[in-house]
Amino acid sequence: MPTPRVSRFARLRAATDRVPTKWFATIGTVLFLAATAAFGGLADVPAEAKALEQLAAGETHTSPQLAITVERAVLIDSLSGTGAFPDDEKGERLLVLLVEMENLWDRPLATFGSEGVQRAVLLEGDARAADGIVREDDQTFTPWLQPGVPAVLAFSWVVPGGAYADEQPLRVVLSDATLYQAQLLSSRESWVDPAPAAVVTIPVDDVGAGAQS
Amino acid sequence: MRGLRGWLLGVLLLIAAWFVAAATPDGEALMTDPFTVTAAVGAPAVGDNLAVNIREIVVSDGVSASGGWQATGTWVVVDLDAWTVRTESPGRIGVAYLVLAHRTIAASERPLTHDSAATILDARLHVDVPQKGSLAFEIPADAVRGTAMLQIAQDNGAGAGDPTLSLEGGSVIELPLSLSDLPTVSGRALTPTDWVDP
Repeated sequence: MPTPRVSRFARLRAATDRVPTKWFATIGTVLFLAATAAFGGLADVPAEAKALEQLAAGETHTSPQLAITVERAVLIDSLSGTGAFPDDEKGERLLVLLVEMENLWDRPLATFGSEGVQRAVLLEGDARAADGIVREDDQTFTPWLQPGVPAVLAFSWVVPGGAYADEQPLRVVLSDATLYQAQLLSSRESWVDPAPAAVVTIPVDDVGAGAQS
Repeated sequence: MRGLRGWLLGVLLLIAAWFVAAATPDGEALMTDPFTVTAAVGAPAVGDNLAVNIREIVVSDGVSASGGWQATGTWVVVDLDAWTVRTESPGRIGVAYLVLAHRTIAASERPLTHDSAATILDARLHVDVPQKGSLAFEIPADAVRGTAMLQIAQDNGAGAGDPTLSLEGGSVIELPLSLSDLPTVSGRALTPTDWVDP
């Protein structure tokens, strides 16, 4: 008696039925974990702890984009023309950093906005960009930085009254951005991803109410 | 025989196509490249909507402007008349650059801090009715040498930060300069934006 003719499809089916499909998920998971482990595991790869440059007032930090010199830190009740408005009823005051900046790139840089350099100068422990950035000499609000022309800027933050005190050392974090060149549909270049590169320790000078002008 | 002729024709067409491809300009960039209008001092230069007549260009040690603004430093001051040809919206000098050897300087917005008529940058221009004014460029003190290119254009909305973007898709009025040949003055006062005297 010849064996009953079985279609190829049925035979394939019989073969695949013997494959333990329930294990597929397990096998896949194990493979994924093994591959992950080979590349360092699921835990965060600890960022390479880069020693931040330690600077004092008046010392210059240079990146490919900017040369930054934090010159003075002043605590004041309020100051017109800074673009930052403390509410004295809430006891707020103003922390003003005088920073000399030189644009080392080949074209103008904005001081504020999505591609502005405002994140290059931050207070340690305070993620906020400055509330106001103006030129110290003529109070131009969020000025352009022309290449090769240094300018002294006033970075001003509205801070709670007791947050900073006279003579207290203030730590200012300077960040370097990375030049990014768009690849698709555009070749525009911009400075992105500021990362801390230096810390300036500078004493705070509390000038009280300040000169009213 | 017919087969051979077909092949010959095909090869000829391919060769012709190669010539066509070689003669075609690199299209991607040209689609957005600005077209340039070369200006001369004292003569009108007309772009697609913006028109200027550059009167005088000087290098000044320190400048002042209406509204009491003044600044130290090295400046290139361009006095010019400007008007529009087709439309007043938009109708303004939105961006102006001084292209140095390795750096591009944008026309300064600083004089406008105290008076919006202190420079003609961003001033509303009018069809066929010229206004006079100044553009001021703050340049590094050591940059007053060699050649430079003055560029004046309407604003296409991209902002002054990236010259390759802000000049796209329109006309650019250009004037080549020799910086060391420019007259040098001190404390130049910018021309407040105003109607040209008839």
